[in-house]
Amino acid sequence: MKINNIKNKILCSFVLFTFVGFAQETVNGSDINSFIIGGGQETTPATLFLNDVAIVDVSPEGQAVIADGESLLLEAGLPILAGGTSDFVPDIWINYTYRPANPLDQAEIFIRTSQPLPAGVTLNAKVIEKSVGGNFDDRGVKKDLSVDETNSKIVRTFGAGYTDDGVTNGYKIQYTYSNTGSEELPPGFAIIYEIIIK
Amino acid sequence: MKQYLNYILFIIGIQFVTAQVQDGTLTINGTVDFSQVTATMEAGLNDTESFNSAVQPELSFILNPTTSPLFGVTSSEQNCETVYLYKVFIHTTGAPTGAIVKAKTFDNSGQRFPLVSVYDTLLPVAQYFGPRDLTAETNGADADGFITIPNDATQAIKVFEFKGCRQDIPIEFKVSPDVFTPSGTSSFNVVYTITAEPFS
Repeated sequence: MKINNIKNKILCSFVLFTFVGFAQETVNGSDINSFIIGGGQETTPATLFLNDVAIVDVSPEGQAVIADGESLLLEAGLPILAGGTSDFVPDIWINYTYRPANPLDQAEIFIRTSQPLPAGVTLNAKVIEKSVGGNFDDRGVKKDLSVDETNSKIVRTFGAGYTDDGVTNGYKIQYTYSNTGSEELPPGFAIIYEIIIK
Repeated sequence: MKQYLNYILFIIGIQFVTAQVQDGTLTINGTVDFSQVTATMEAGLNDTESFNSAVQPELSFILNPTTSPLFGVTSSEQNCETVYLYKVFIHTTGAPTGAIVKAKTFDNSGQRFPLVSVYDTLLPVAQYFGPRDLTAETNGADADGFITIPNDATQAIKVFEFKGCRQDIPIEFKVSPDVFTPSGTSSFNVVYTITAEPFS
């Protein structure tokens, strides 16, 4: 029994010493007794300046540079749109990063087409999935939006956040279209994504 | 008499080194100033890339001159013949949300005060605290040697320690923000706490 006690004490000491060895040393800086004898304390002001950020892009296609209210051109699934009556354009993931200029400023994400859709062609979009990655609230519009030359809101108001980058991150957008007249899309047709600060 | 004063003080220093710790003055020159040049250009990424303070504050700690009936005025240089172990702890107050502040210095940065002392000329075995050197804390440091500074006064963390008086120790600061850290300019405080330990 005694031997066991001694063993335990040795073990405890070993564990404690190990712990002390790896713990970072701290003092209570708000307790004057920790430094009053032979020590001292000084407080200095400091500043941190950060830029605001509002950028959106899409994966897997498109280039990734958009800042503050500018917009990105994306040629989403053009070959599939030409001809046929109804089909899916490949799914697209919207990624964004947003740090507001003022803490309470909110932003929204819109989509529109670069040119009018030909008669007989309709294009719809909705959010069908939100990623678990990143750090943002689910504000995606989950019912079909008619996409045309005017802005349609695909993500409702949100504050600071980020989605993480690339496919499987952010909002997954599903496009559906109908093309009753077998019309072709005009050259240069594109879908534009824009983050707009309210 | 005067020419032996340093030696006498040194010996007295040994005698009294465990009895009391002399008062010193902590000085910080320069304030931390973080300024982000460009934010992330890749949509989706959290904006966490770290950047350094434009200013490296410099820390000095020097024992105060004293007056005694026996020796009259004793200068800081003479008092610094008595060597103590000093540990420097840093914390912040009011740091902006999400901002991770880190600090470091290099081994033997800054200068001994005085540059040369009687203590330095002693045989190593007689230098009770070893050479008057500065050692940067490595325990808990990141790959670049930076220690994360807590935004909590009760948890001021050790960044380095040194033996004997020392001045102009440059301290490098860096910050890693995130998208939840407010844009524009935020103000906060950096607090330096120094403790003294006599040889025992």
